[in-house]
Amino acid sequence: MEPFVLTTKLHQPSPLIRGIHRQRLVTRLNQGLLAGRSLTLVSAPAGFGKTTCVSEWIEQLDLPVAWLSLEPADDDPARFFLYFIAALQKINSSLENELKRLLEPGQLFPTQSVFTILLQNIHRFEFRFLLVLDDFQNIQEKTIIEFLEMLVENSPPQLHLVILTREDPLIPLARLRANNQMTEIRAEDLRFSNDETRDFFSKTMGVTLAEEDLRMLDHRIEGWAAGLQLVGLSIYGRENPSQFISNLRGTQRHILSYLTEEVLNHQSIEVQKFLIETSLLDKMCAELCDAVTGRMDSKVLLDHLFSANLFLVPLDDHQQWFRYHHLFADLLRSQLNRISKQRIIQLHNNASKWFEQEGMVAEAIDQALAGEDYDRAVGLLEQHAMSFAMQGYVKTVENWMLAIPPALRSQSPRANLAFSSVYLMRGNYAESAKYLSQAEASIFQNSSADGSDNLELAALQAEWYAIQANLFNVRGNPTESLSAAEKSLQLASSEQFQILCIAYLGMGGAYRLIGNYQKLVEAYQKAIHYSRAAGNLLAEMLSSTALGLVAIQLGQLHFAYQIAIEAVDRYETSNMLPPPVAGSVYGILGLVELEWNQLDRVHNHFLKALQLNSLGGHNAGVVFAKVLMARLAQTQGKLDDATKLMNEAANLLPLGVPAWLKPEVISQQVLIYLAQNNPISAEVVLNQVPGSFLEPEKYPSELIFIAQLRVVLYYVKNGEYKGDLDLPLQLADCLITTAIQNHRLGIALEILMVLIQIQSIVGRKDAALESLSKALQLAEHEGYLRIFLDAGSEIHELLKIAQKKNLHPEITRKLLAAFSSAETISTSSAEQTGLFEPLSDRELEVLKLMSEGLTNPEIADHLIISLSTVKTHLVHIFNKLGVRNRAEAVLKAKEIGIL
Amino acid sequence: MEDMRIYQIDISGQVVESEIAPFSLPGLKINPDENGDSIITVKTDQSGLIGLIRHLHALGFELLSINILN
Repeated sequence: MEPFVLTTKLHQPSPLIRGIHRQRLVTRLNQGLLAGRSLTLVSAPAGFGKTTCVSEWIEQLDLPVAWLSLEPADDDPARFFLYFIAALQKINSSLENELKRLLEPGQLFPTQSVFTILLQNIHRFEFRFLLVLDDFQNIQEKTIIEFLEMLVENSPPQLHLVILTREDPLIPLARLRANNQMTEIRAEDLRFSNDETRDFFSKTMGVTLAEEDLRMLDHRIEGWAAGLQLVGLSIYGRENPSQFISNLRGTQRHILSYLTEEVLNHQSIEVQKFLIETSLLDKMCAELCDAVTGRMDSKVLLDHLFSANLFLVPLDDHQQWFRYHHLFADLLRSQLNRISKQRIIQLHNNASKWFEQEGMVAEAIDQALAGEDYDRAVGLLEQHAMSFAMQGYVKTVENWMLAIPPALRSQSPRANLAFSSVYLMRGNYAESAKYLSQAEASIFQNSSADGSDNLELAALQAEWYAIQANLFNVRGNPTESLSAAEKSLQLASSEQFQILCIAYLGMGGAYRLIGNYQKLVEAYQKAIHYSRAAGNLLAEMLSSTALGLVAIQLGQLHFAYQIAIEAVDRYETSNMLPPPVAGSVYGILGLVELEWNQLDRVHNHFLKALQLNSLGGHNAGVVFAKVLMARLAQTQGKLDDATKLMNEAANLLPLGVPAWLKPEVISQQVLIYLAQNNPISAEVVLNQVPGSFLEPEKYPSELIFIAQLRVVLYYVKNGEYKGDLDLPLQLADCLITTAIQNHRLGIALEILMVLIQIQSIVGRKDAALESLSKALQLAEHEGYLRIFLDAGSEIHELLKIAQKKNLHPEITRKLLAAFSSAETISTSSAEQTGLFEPLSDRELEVLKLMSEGLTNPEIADHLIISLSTVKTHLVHIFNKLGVRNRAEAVLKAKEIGIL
Repeated sequence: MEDMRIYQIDISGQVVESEIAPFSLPGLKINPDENGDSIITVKTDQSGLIGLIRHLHALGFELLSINILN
């Protein structure tokens, strides 16, 4: 469901005052466009005819125009960018798929990436176009202003930006002004000249005024468009216009309300009542006006108002939807005191009901709130808050919630649960906990004798426990989490898939912390199953990521790969917006490929993980992706990049991440510090977590133990180890045995790698060789390579001995071959992928088919996509490879080794 | 009707020209007064004035007075 009506926002208005031509302004605007300026600024107070002037100008242009009328509610990045992108899509439909991803902003609005991607997309336009932002004074939000600042700074040659505003925008325009890069139309330009006033009265209003009257009018109204129009309406059919004009006195505002009153009084009582009653609608159509006022003839009235030039602005091409001109609407609303408060509330509620009936939920909620019908607003929010928030309109929904009195808010368990759940899924655990506790009282105190209500209550409690189970995991409290998950499962019925998937997700997390791997796999598989049944793609991605990561720890690389591939497939074929953590499943793919030493693919998948997770704004997802990128950077010897990425990841930790992620971060930090010969910092990081060799039972994670063992290895290598070596080595042996018994081969291998190196360095060659043999045996089946290569020269030497002794000859041979080419592979692949923006999987497919000589229609058939999509892919491929045609693309692709 | 007027805006504290000049029509001048406050002189119209005041407000400056000079 698209939550907001788009078409009326994007309607390009026809000139409001029909039949008036202001050639001097059009000429100036055209000159600016011809001179290649990047911006037109029309800045003047209300009623100066800004919209009319610009719409007259663009009507005679032969350029595509994206028009966006802004309202106060659009001062929300999510909504603004939704409309901004929709406006661009209206003139360039091929943008759609890529930009959809940007419409899923979360609590961590990824400004920079959105800016960059939008700018890249505008640069790809193959034609020049106008983007008009009307009523820009409604935008004050810093994120949006920064974006426009960047747009103005970069000024893509395709774009001519037009800003209409009542006040100068908070964008630094001095440089554009100084460089003559901007056309500026201000109040003094918009005022009607004497000739224009004459023309306006004779041609548009059908009134011929004497020269003296014109001069008087010029003196009184000062060429102010709205004033002139109201005078025209007032004197139409009047016997003595001169007297009327000479009676106009006072300030603009005064004249305006006087004239509006005049115009209103000119109308029949019925029309007056209609105008005032419908003034509380931001937009209106005949059916809505009927529903609100209780009349049957709104269509006739609207047609009359429109043809009488009574400040009705059409919002679409079919003259179905209208709004009043802002100034006129303000003055009409000031007349609302003519009717009773009760009637006003009734009007709002009529509007709310009509909007709900028509499926325009956002408007229905707005009207319910305006009519102070909070029960109704809460009811609507309970039904729709989740779906709105899942689509990224978190701020909008929050504003609605805040408009409801606190007492009523906490009485709505479903709305609170919906919120809690939304924040949980987006990884904002503090907010999730807040709403969960708001829901608590009403869920656990209310009890009803009515059986159906009890079922309802049980469902609410089940959902409450399911969310609670997940939050306990974040706090590192698996026992409480398990008990909450079990309570939830007892209370939920077998069809409540949505609750079941969240409960099993929590259960999986708990078993993950406890280290019960068999139960964990079961729980996550159930979570995946129920997520699919519930259509909760986000929960599915979360469970798949968790299961995939655990599978890697278990050393089941093929299983992990299969889970990730399935998840990627589900995500790519779903027509839903990508969930915030979708990127992480690409991370799993990359991790497995890293172990298999397929470095060229790893880079693409990690980058995709980072991009998608950044766009999704899921904190844990971003941290995870940065850790992955750092791991790859370190593998490729780019220690500075790795350090930078890890600093960024560490800075995000305070925003809240699940407990399992912290050891991953610490472990990677330690690796980097050791590579930088900085063991002290490594130890400082490790000291943040409890557990030492003396108290192994307190280890929060084996990853921490492995990290500590690496510190030991570092000191041993440098001859600086002072303590007793037997203790850590025995503990390592012990953990390896337990890990192998529990089938956690991935962990066993990691410990073995460190152990082998220590044994080898301290001269225990036989023990080292024995450990190596064990490692080779574990690694052989799942195709591990990288873990040996990363361990370096010690392992290399031992492998040569292993080869002589014919230990596991197949994998040993593979590893020795990989060792000898490791250097060249890692550096060359880094260069290849580093130079170019990586191609997406789909683009690679298209490229491959193209290289096989398939035509565009054949490629479309083959991939079951439309011809225009193929063309879009081609454009992207050409751009990314920096080539101009198919032949060059194939050549280039072969040259850099992606074909 | 003269839309463009010369306004004198008194602001509490020191204003740096580079902070506000890019947001205003050309010709903006800033002079410190004896109290360490700033006097901004600018030729602009209503929408320019409102935009400038909003910007000063966003920067956290306290507005002391606005006068028309000519």
